[in-house]
Amino acid sequence: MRLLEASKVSLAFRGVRALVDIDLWIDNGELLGIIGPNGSGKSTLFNVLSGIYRADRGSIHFNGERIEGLGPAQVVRRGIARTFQNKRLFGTMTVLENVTVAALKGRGGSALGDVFALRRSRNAIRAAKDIAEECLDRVRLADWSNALAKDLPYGAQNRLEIARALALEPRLLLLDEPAAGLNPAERSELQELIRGVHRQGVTIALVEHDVRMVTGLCPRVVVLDHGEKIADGASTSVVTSPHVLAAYFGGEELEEDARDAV
Amino acid sequence: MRGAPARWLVLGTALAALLAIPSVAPQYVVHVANFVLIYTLPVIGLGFLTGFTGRVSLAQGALFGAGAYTTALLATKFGWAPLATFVPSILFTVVLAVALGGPAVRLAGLYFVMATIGIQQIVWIVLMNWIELTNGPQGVRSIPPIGLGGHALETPQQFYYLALAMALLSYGLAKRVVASRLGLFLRALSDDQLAASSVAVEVGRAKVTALALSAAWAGAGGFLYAHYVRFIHPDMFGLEPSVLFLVMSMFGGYRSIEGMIVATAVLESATEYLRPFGEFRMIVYGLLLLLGMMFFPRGILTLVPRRSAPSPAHGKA
Repeated sequence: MRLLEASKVSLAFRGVRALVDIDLWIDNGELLGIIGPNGSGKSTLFNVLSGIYRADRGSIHFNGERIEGLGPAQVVRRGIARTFQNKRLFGTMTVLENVTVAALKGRGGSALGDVFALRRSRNAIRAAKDIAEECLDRVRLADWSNALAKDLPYGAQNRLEIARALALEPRLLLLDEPAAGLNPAERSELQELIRGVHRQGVTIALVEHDVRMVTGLCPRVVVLDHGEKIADGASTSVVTSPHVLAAYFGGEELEEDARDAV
Repeated sequence: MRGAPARWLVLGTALAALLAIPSVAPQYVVHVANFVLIYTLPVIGLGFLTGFTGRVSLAQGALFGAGAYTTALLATKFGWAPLATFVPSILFTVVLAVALGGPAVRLAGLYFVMATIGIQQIVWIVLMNWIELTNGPQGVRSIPPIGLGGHALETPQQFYYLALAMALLSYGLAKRVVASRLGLFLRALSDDQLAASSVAVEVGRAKVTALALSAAWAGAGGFLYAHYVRFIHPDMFGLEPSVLFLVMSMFGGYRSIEGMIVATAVLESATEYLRPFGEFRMIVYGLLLLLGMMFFPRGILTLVPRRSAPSPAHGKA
């Protein structure tokens, strides 16, 4: 069953075509890789899917409902969560608070209820904190709960982004270059984390530069170039297809990477 | 274990000292203390907006005035009992703030500041020129004192306990608001608005709520003010109190309600303890502000060490 289906999505910035007639579908339970060189439109696509940008044309269905034109807060309520490539954490808040904000999504009670400590509100906050702690545990950040997010080492900030997105209990998780800046040990740890989340039934779309990681994780890969989709298929065949290699990296480096990966 | 009892001891002593002021201090000191207590309300209110959402407002003096004028006019022209005007004063101030400022809170940085200066001007012009309703430049005279259980609170000593009770109540409520999910949402959106909306925070609604709360606190402060000074004039609610409230709410401590209260006390009573400087006292006051902001940009309460958050380096977190 299709969880997400975008058709003919286009977006231009002052005449520069960022996305051109993109057709993208993601099945329930899939782990889809999205690759492409810098500026190919990967992050722009995520920004459109998560409601940050509004597409000029095209439609996006999620779970049978049209979501194009909704803002980020509405999109995430429908079950699409994301991480940011350039780490958009709440720097002056603690690690636990960062995740608790997200875990409060859709819970009962209200700010007024919190002020007067009404039971419904107290329960909601306790539940959110429990979820937040669980998520921090999953990304091995439980020991850092009370540290400020801005004081975390880089790799840990990465994991906090993921914990915050998990706390939203999404059906579809958009990971925007989660491995950027990580060392090899952290990378393989991240792969395990992504696999684990996927096994628990979360559909994932992964934008990543590291082709080896994408082919290792994702059975299907979509390739973007200059805002257009130039390939879509089984990862093993897509990254070795001469068409993609030529249009994409100019050849050599990817070829080696891909051969190793296959 | 050592920290908690010490904390209660300090709080208890402070409360006892506050309660004793009217019986031991000269009337003039009580008078100044009343202004400090009254001003803590608009200052804390502004803290919701400025401290927590990063929106600098120069309209808080006008909102303070809206509360003062609502209660003054209801009491003098329509014969309401002063206490009965408490809730209407707050409600009117909130409605005014949301109607005028609601569309502006989405503006960023300086543009929001300019919008609030506009609001400040609009309110002042209306107070000055809608003469049939507000008496314009004549001001509102003979505002009745607040009556509690048949006793009119006329002298500074009598008024003091009401002002203290209101200040303590507003402090307690503000602490609860800051600890609520709204406080969490506001801090999140002031750190990163886009990330906040990506975790389902309704950014616009949270900001308007912060504005409404800041207006509610300003309205309550204006209510107290009108029945204490008992004569109000549009010029009392111009840009000057707005600037003063802003300074007070930033000078104390970044996102610290206690800091805002300390700053209000330090700055409002400055004209008294700077008296030895004679005609130079306003210069000293200015220097105090300047040095305070230079050396304690996150507020003077950063002088007091905070309980530091445990980190993994210090054992179990």
